[in-house]
This record gives sequence, C-alpha cells and structure tokens, in this order.
Amino acid sequence: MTVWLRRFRTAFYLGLLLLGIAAAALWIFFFVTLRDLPQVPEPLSRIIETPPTEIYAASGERIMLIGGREAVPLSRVSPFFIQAVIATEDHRFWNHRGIDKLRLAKAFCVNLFGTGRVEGASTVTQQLAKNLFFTFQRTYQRKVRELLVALQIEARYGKNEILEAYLNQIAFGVGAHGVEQASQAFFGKPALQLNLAEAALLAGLPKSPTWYNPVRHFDRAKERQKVVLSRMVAVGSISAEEAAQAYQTRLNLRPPGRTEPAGSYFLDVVLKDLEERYGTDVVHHAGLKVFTTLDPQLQAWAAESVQSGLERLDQVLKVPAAVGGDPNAHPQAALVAIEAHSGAVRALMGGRDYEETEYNRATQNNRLPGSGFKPFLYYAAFEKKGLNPASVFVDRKVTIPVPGQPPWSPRNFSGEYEGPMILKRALSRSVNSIAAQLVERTGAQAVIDAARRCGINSPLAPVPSVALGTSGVSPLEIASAFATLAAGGVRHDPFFIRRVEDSAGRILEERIMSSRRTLDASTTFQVIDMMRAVLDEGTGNVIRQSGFHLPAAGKTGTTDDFKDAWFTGFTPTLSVSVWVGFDRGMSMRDPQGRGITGGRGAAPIWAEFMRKATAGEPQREFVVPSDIRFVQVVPTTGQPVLPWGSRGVDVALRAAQMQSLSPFSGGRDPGLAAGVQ
Amino acid sequence: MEDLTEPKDLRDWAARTFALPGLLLAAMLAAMIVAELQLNWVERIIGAYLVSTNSDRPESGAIWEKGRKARSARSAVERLASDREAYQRMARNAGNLSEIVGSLAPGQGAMLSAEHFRELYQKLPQGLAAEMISPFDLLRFATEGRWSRTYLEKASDGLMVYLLEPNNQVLRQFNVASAPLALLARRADAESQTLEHMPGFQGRIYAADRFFAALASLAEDERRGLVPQPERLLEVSGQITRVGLSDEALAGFVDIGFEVRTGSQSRVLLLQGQDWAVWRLRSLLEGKSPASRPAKSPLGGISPQ
Repeated sequence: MTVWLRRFRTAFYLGLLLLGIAAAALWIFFFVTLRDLPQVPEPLSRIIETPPTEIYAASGERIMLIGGREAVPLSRVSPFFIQAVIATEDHRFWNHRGIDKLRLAKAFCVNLFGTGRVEGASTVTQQLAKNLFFTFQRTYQRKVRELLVALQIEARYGKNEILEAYLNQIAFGVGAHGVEQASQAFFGKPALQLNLAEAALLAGLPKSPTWYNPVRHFDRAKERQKVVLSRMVAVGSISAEEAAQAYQTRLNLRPPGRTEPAGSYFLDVVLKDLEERYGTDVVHHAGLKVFTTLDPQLQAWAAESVQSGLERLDQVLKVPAAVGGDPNAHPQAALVAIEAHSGAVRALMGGRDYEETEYNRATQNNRLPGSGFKPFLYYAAFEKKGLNPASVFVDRKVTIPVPGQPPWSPRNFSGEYEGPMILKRALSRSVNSIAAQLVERTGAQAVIDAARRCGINSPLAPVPSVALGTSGVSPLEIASAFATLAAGGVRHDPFFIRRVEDSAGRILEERIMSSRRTLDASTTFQVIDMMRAVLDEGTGNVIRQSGFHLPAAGKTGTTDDFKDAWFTGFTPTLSVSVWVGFDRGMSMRDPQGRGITGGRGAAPIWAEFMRKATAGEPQREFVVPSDIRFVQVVPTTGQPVLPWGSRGVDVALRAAQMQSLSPFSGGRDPGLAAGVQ
Repeated sequence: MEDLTEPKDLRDWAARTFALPGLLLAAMLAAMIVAELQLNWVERIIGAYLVSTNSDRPESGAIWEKGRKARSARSAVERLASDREAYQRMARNAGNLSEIVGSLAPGQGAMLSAEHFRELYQKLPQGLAAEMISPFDLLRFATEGRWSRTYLEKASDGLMVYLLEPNNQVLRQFNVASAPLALLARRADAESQTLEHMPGFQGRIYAADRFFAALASLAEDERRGLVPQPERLLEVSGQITRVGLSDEALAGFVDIGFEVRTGSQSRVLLLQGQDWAVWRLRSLLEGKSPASRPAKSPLGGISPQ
C-alpha cells in the first residue's frame, strides 16, 4: 500500500469517527436544548388576547393604545400586503416547514466567506418564534432554540394561522403592533384597504421601524418601498410595470400629529402618573381605559403655535438649518394650557419635537421665571402692606441690604429710571427697582407664601431676589398658579386624568374637582387688572398687536442674559404659560446683539395659540368683586384725574381705598398724597 | 472464500467503492437528501416530536412572561374594582350615614346620588345635620338642579363630603370632624349592643321605670325637649329596660339610649334630647339641685361631670 493511500485510509476512518461524534453530540445537544425549550401556547391566537390599555382625549377620541393587539383575520388584510411581506421576508414561506434550507445554506456561505456582511435567513415562522419567546440576544443557542420552536409551530399549525399570528404581532414603530394598527396609524384606513404602494411601504418597515418611519424619514421609506417592490417583482407577485406605477403613486400619510400614538409630552405625564398609582404591569397589561383632560384640537394648535414660533425664532437668531435634529443646537419651547375653573390640563407641549427629544420642558424643566414672578409680589404687597394699584413709588436706583450677602442692586431692563409712578404702571412696565422696594417692605417670605397659595410647589429661596424670579419653576406650575388668579383666587390642583376604568368599564377612580379659596377675591382682582395693562400697554403689548383682543391678563418674564423668555397669561377661562430658551441655558440674541425677551420670544406663541383657542368665543370679562371701584388716576401721582385734565390710568380700588382719594381736590388725602414711597 | 483484507491499491479501492452495495448505499443517501429537500421529513419528524412533548416543557419566554404579568395585573385591577363596587353597593343599600361611615376605611370613598344623600341627611341627628350643612343650602342646590351626586371620603381626621355637579365639579365641600363621626359610629353599632358596651354612657345608665318616673315629673316643655318624638318609643316592639344619657353633646343635642329587650336579644335605640332638658332630668335622677347649668363641652354640649 502506498503512503498516500494509507493516509487517505486514515483520513477516511477519522472522518467517519468525527461524523459519528458529531452525530452523537448533535443528538445530546438536541435533548439538552429541548429541556429548556418553551412550551408553545395553544391556540396560537392566545398571543393576542391581552386587552390593550386605551387612553382617550376629553373629546372621546382614542389617543393611545398600550399593549394588546388589534388582531384581524387574514381575510381582512390586503392581499398586496401579504404578498409584499412574503416576498420581502420569506418568499418560500408556503413551501418550507419552518426552515428555508437553501436560504440558510446561502447565508451560511455568505457569513462564512463574505466580507463581514451578515446575511439572515430567518423565515416568517422563525421570526414569529423569536418574537414570542426569545430575547434579541444574538447567540447560536438562541438561534437553535428559535429554529426548534419554529419547527414545532409548523408541525402544529397551518400556514394561514402562522401568517395571521405573525402579521398581528409584528412591530411597525410609532407604537403600532400588527398590520391593522399600522395601517390605521400611517394611512388612517383598515388593513384590508391598503393599495399596492401603501402595502409595500408598510411591509418595509419591520426591518427598522424607526429608521424607515415614513413620517420622519420619507425618503428612506421610499427607498425601502422600492426594495420591497423589487422583491415582489422578483418572486413574481407583480409585474415590473405594476411596481413602477406603485412607486409613483402618491402616498396619503396621516398628518404627523396623528401618526404618533406612541407618545407625546402629554401622554408621558399621564403614563408616569398612572404607573406611579397602579404599577407598570397594570398599566401595560390590564387593559385600562383612561379618560384624560386633553383637548386634541387645543393640543394641535399648541403644537402649531410652538412650531411656527420657534421657526420664527430660528430665523431671528439665524440658527443654521444643519443643526436640525440636535435638540441643544436650537431653542426649545414649552406650552401648557389649563382650564382656570377646574385645573384640567387641556394641552401641553414639552418641546419643539417629541421625536427629537422626549425631555419634557413643561413639567421637568425648572427655569427661572424672571419678572413672571412679580404678580405674587404685588399680591403680597397689597395684602400685607395695604398698598394698592394707585400707590406711588419712585423708580430709582436702589440697593437692598441682604444679611450675610453683598447688597442687592437690581437694575431695570431698560437701564433707565423714570421717577415716580403708580404700582399698576410699575407692573405693566416690569420695573425692577420698584419691585425691589416692594420686596424690601413685604419680605421674601410673604412673596413665597403668596406663590405657594397660588400653587407653586418648587423650592423657592427666601431671598429678596425671589420676587424677580430667581428660583426655578416649571411652565406647568406657573400656568397653574396663574389659573388661581384667573379663577379669582380659587385654587384648583392641575390634573390630567378624569377617570380610569377597567376593561369591562367598571370605574376604578374618578376625579373630584375640588377647589379652595386661597387668595382674597378683591386683592386678586386688583392684580388681574394690573396684569391686563401688561397686554394693553406694557411689555406684552405684542399680544394686542397680534390681533388677540379678548379680555386677558398676563406677565412677561426675561432672565439675565436672555437665557429664558416667558409669557404667562390668562382669560377668565384658560391659563396658558409659554417658555422659550436653550436647553443648555445659552443666551438668545439676534446677530445685532439684541436679546430675545418674553415679549419677543414667548408672547407671539401665546398670542397665536390663544387666537386659535378662543376663536368664536364670546367676550367674557373677569368677574368684578362687589367692593371694587374703578377710578382714573394720574400715573405719576396716583391722584384722581381732574375732569378737565389729560387722560389718566384706570385703576381698580377697593371701596375702603377710595376713601383715601380726594376726587375733586385732584389729589389723595394729605397723609397719603405726601407719601410718595 | 473472498479475501476481506484491505484494498491493495486505488484501483482495488475504487472497484470496491463502486460495487453494488456502495452504490446502493449512496443511492439511498441521495434519495434521503432529495426527499428531505422535497418533503422536509426531518423538520416534520422533529416538529411532531416537539408537539408531542409540548405539555412537558416550561412556560417560559416573553409571551408566557407577558401572560403572567397580564394575569397578575388583571387580578390587581379586579381587586380594586370589586372593592370599589362593594363600597358602592354598601353605600347604595345604606339606610343611614352612620352605616357608610362605619364601613369606610381611611382613604376610601363612596359615591351616592343626590337624592340618596338627602334621605340619609334627614335621618341624621338634628344637631349633626345642621353642623354638616344647612338644610337651606341643600334645598338651594337641589332646586338649582346642578347637584347630581355626593362623594363621601373617609380621611384620617374625619369625613370629607363633596356635593358634585354632573361633571364632578365640586359645588360645596365640607369636613365632618372625628368626634361627630364617633357619634355616628356609635349609632351604627347601637342595633346589636347593650348600653354598657356603647362608649359614652358609662355611669349614666338608669332603670327604665326610674327614668320614665323622673320624666313624668318634668314640665311638658321639658319632656318635649327631652323626647321630641315619643311616638318612636311607642312603636318599639319589646320592652325598654334601661335608659342611658350620653356624656357628649353636639350642637345642643345629647344622645339618649333606650335599651330594648326582645326575648334574649338586646338593642339600643338612640334618640336626641336637647341638652338643657337632659341636664334637668339628670339632676332629678341624681338628686342634685337644678339651679346651676353645666359648662359647655368643646362640642358645644354638656361636659361630663
């Protein structure tokens, strides 16, 4: 025997031995793997039995579905979609028994000899097995287990049952699970009515739902649609002409606001609240019905107003277009709208774009309110020190001693001082030097107490500058606190959920809209009347210039170096707060170096929103308490205007405060008139 | 005999390999492979085996985990819903407010219709009812038509009562403090009690004949002040054996407990007498001079003496 023959013989027997060992190892591996293999539920439709938690707007419209499935039989799915999925995911689906051996062999070769490219060969059944039982961890053991479960599913169930289960649990992004939800979410129609173009677009999404999201990335989705159509042509489902025609077909995607049931800033707050009260499992698996306070129309207008306001601001600030997508590179905004007489939150925007960043600036972002805090100061000064809107103070440079700290010398925004003026004018023009004199008299704690009674819960530093908004608050808080003013001093806690039911409709909880009077009605009205002047002739007059003319009151706020711009205002029924600023606290200045104030950055958003929100509403006045009298006074002296004198400023005074004015002498009583403060 | 030794050379090896047995073996193998490709018999066998062992395998994996979570979540919600239903049922069937107060745990509440609350309100002791809310206010709310429901919530320091509009906006809310609630709770327990077991009567329990003898010696207005509705006592089936006077007063009224024995069963019927009349009677029962009036308790009633 030649040497090579001996070697060949040795190799032959060695090969046989190895083959035997491999067969034995495979056998053992099979049974070991089998031990931990999960049980397959029967019937397979059991996977879709969990009722979804449904969240509804105040209008009754369903705005979110969590968990659960909207299962449809194959007979209610467009044949185009079925063909598209099979052509793309597993074109030999109808022929194999769980494994596509040819595709597996090809993938094996590509993965083994290819240049780093990983090719998958999972069949629809394997994908179903993976989605039902396994994690997305890439291990060989998981692949084998997945394959074995796929074989069992194929042995136990018919192809139609398997395909139906697959189509009803597949994830399409935006919170849509199953073809019916996806079809409704993206096209607003049942899955049965999908045409070829729509079916091809949807069938391409499961590969990477976020990457191919057609609302966010339409071009990518179109590319993917092209791939799906090519696959359909390749497997003979459609002709090339049909594919070309489908590719050209215009797609009627639902508007962005209605294609994202997966989340919004408002829903995040609702979910967090629910999870804290009921636990995550109950919220996601028990099939609750949650009725919220959201007004979808107001929410849509809030989104529009924030978007357009920020676009204008981008232009003013010359923010480069290329930074789109980076939430820190352009200014953000938040808007909260609260019903004044119940505390119900009707709309909430926590940022420019929820897809870009889920950070909720309406509830989580405590930013300095600046002068937006002054109404609490004025209320405290009226209540505690007996001052009134006609009290006269001198706008001058002031220095307030602060125990243990350097003296505080607040400057006016304009850098100028105007001399004597009544408090109504001081608030409408947001004069800091007079605010400083007031807080020196009342003390910081009185301002904090007034803010607390209105509903501010964030920590507030007991220092004089708190009156000028140097402690952070959220837009939700400040909107709620101003709602207390709007309701005449009656406090309602803000809330998002009206009622929670179980899946059978039994009530688990319902909101009792209780209230408590925390402020004096007449003093509150005096502050409201002063805040009306902010819109009519003060720092927020852009509101009136923008065409909003209903009775309303509000206050602007701008912080040092233009890091934050606020406008919070209210009508007798709705309190709305708008904040604008950079997440990282950068200064907002235009190329000429002019800063963005509350009146310039936030008030236009407020005005646009309120114009839409109150369109067609009758004119509602704030309720005037019975002891309030109106009198026209000279803005620099606080004395009544003489019949032949020039027009003064209307101030709201309590009957008792009227007695201190002398209507015909052109002045107040001597004691008060002498006391320019 | 055939030589079974190894092939001597390649030709010999090839000849043996391509002999009939080798070819048959190869054909068989090829047939198996083709059959597998065509009929998928390996997958079918493995699948059938797995189906047969399915019930022995663990309920593990994402779908089972989700199922467990769903079951647990549903049972949690079921508990919440059935607790709430039980409270609602209890509230619907309650004949008086004290039953509801006695059944609620702190933090829990029950919703009543406005009509039902009005019925319960009418059955309250006069002093307590007036202290909770003026009947004229209730009348006004009922007439305006905005009052649709009433929510009662037991708090640690009393009972919060909310009169609600149809959209759950609160028309009026008021708190009933713990002390009046204790009186209400006592009334709830009175049905199956004797006077000794009821708080507030110790040391002020008298034989019925002695009580009624003392009552008879009072002037008519004093008797009416003490027992404004004597017909309720006449309606009682069984024998009144003892009478207790409470040591607490509420809004000018004092509980008077009449212990009624029927066979071997005892129960207490509570009525309210005006505090000054009760004080007058008690002076007679204890042989004290009725000249001076007692000090008022923090509740506005008679202080224990």
